[in-house]
Amino acid sequence: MSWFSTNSRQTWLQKLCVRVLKAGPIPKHIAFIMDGNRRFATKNSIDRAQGHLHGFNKLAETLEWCLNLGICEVTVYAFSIENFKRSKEEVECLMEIARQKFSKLLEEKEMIEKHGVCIRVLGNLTLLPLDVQEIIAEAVNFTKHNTRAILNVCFSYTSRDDICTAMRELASGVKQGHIKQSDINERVLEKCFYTSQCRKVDLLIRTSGEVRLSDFLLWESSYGVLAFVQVLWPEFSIWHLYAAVLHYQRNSQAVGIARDNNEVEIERLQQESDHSCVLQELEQTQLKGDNSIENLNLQSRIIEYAALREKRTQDFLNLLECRRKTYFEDLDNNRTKERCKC
Amino acid sequence: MIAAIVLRVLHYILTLGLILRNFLYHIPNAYLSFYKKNSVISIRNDAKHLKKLPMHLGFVIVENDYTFRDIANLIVWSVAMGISYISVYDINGDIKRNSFLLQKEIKRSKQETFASEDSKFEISLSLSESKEMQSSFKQPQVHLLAADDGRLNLVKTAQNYCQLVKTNQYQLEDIVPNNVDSHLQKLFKLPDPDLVILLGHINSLLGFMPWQVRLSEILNLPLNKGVNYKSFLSLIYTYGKTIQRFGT
Repeated sequence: MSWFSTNSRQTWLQKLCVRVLKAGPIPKHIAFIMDGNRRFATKNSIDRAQGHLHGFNKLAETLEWCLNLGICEVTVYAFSIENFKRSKEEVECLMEIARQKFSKLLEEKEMIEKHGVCIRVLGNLTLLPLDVQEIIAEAVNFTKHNTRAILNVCFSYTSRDDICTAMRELASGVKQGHIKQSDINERVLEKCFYTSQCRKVDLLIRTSGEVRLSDFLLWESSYGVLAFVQVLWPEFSIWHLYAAVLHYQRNSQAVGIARDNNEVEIERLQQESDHSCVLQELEQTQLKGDNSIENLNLQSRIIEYAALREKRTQDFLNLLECRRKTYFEDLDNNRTKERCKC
Repeated sequence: MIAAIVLRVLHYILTLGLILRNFLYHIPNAYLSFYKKNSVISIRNDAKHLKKLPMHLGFVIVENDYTFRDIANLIVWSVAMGISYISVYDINGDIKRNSFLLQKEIKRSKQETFASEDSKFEISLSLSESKEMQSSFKQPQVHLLAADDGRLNLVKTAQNYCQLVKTNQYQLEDIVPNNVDSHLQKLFKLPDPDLVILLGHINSLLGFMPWQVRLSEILNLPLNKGVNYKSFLSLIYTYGKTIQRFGT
């Protein structure tokens, strides 16, 4: 089955529901934990691979529903690093689905361009077989310019791994002198995550009645609304989505206030840190007996320092993003070269 | 214009419907058990029927219509059940600031619940600032947490690692989930929460321990004019029934 759902007709009732829901705030970014494929397979006595395929088809449908609602970014938990612990056959089967689906996607380039779809694959991809990495790289590279509908696929991902990767990036940045230790705040840390290019997560939906995050977007969802839905993922329907959006609307105000307060707090802490950094610098220059700069007032020095810090961190983050982009481009180039040889 | 108003009205009706449904759903257990006193013996009896008990139970305040009495009752019930680690998270830090008020309420609630056994149970509150704790082993710990114990703590951890790596005291490759986890465990002196109870209707963690909630069960306990023991117990039962199949 294709990535683009074929029966895109909405019934009049669905159209009405969409319009009613749009009278309230619509989440911009929804994350899904698509849980219950295997239980669905057992329940309907089909094999596991079929269950996973049903799950994928549901994803294609759901993306369409989201677009119709005006939700332009969706993140899904496709494969966790913990999933490598499953039986060899099942891991291989999931890899095969990934191969097939990404190849299928690359056959549908026209549809991708028409809908303006951007696919990002987030996670520690180096753990995957090389051919899967390459095909993912081609898909990511091909769609990277699109902005209308964004699909983030968390593949070989866990949130704790993501946080540690970010910490390593920062630590090596500090060691090489690109940034200072005091430059690190919540914003800088999250800009080092795989999810750095994503909008803030407004709503996280987990199906199959489990009420855990299971190492998915732990940081990103901490100021988002959670919705735990009782149904198995392949049975998820448009009405479940509408109900989840309604649930979001009832929660969004309170969560929004908490999030805004947190933003203010980040700003305050950074100003405090800038202040003490400038004082420290002043102390050091005075120790050296250099009094020439003393007539500059403190406030303007702090502003100057903040601007420098801003530039420093931005340069560092640009470098990081560039490196991550190159990873995909190089893999993609390799693939094209190999094909030429054949 | 008219269409927009009609849609808005429909939207309100829908929301109202949901609120009503929620309300009706919670009435039965909100008022039934009001006059029943909960003695420590009956609570322990309830705990006996459970297959598993959370080791660390986290309460997250997501709505402001709580009282210190509610929180104190929840803490005392949890202790009576035999839960050893309890944390109370309030994003605004009100509880942390007014910990003495909570301490007073806990004392009162303890006398009600434990009666003659009162003196056997010592419940100590700990704020994250006072790092060294004079704890005896079996004494249940109540940790009061606020926004700066959440994401900010991870930022501080990152800074800490930067310092260590810069001065060559730590290898870059050693910053992996297991090591970071044990670092944070030492810092908080808390295992990861097994169960997180959101106090209120809002369904969000509001920044509660993002690193530690990886495998926590997340449940809601709406506060309709005070909490009661029965609805608290039903959540603990729900937790007791769940099976985790993490990853595999």
